[in-house]
Amino acid sequence: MKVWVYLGLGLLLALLLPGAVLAQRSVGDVTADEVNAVARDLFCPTCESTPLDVCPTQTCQDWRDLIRQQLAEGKSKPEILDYFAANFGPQVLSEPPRQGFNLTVWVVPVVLLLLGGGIFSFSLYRLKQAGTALPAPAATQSPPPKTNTTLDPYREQIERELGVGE
Amino acid sequence: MAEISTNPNATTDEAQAAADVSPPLVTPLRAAALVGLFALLALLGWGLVNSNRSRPIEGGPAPRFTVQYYDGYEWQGKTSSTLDDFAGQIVVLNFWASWCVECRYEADLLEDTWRAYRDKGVLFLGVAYVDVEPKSRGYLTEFNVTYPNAPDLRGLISKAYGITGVPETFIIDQQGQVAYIHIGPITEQTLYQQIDRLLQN
Repeated sequence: MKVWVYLGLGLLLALLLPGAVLAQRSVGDVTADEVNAVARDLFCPTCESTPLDVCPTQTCQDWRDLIRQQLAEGKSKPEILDYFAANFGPQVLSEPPRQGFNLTVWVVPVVLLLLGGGIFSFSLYRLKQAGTALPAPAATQSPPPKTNTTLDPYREQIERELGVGE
Repeated sequence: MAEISTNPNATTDEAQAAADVSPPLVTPLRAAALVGLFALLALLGWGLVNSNRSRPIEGGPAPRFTVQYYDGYEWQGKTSSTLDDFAGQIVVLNFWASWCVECRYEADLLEDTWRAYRDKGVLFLGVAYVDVEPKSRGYLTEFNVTYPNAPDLRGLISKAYGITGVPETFIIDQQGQVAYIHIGPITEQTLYQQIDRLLQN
């Protein structure tokens, strides 16, 4: 029985150790690609609209070093992004967090798109309705057959003399 | 005459038909679209006003803020303070960063002046602008800074003061009013002159 317990513990350790080793790496082991995978979702705080992964300033270099350090400590990408947002404000994120007033950034374009699509479809529908409705009045408003009631007695007399309709 | 008597009816019908075909000027859809447009413009205007909110002016009230000090750079043993905690003192609020080259020109001056005035009711407070803590600490150690220092968490303080870059220095008087604003590295003459002026008041 004891042998099984020791075997089980050994197996558990064998499974957990690599994870522990991975969680704590040396800073030098973190590759530039790993750093840039996080950095591209952040923006340089001191320059205009420059993603962190392509920013040449000292500030960005410092931030990339910090990302490298946090990756080495085993932090995940969302954890690192949260850290930067908490310390430097959500404006450093390339994608604003989907909460509070920031929701307008996500909601307004969709609403505008739906609204625009609705107006466009409705306008098309109205145009189509108008297109089918317009010829109809033209047809009904064709001039009525001309009749002259003053000529009717003469026409009746001619028809009678000619024997038409008899 | 009979033709004349039948035509008025025909023209009335045509006018009625025309009135039925032409849409009214204001439809519910157009009204909704207009309301939506105005709402969007109002939203944009609000954002514009907020983003261009004017920075404090000399003689105006200093924006309130809260700082959470770096370990080892606290004020009177407190880990955090608000501007109201400094009431009655002259506050020299300096925005800096470890990556800022010009900040280095004034670092020694600020520390020396702090040591000269710390017992005369003058408080120096450094606020690190978009700086990573290890670098900030390295800078503070390099220049032997001893006055209270804090990071500008979420950029709230620099936003409230509308700074245009670093270094920038705001001197706040004993009543919480902005007495002097300096953009760029401050000189010894200016710093002493401004502090002395306020101490004499």
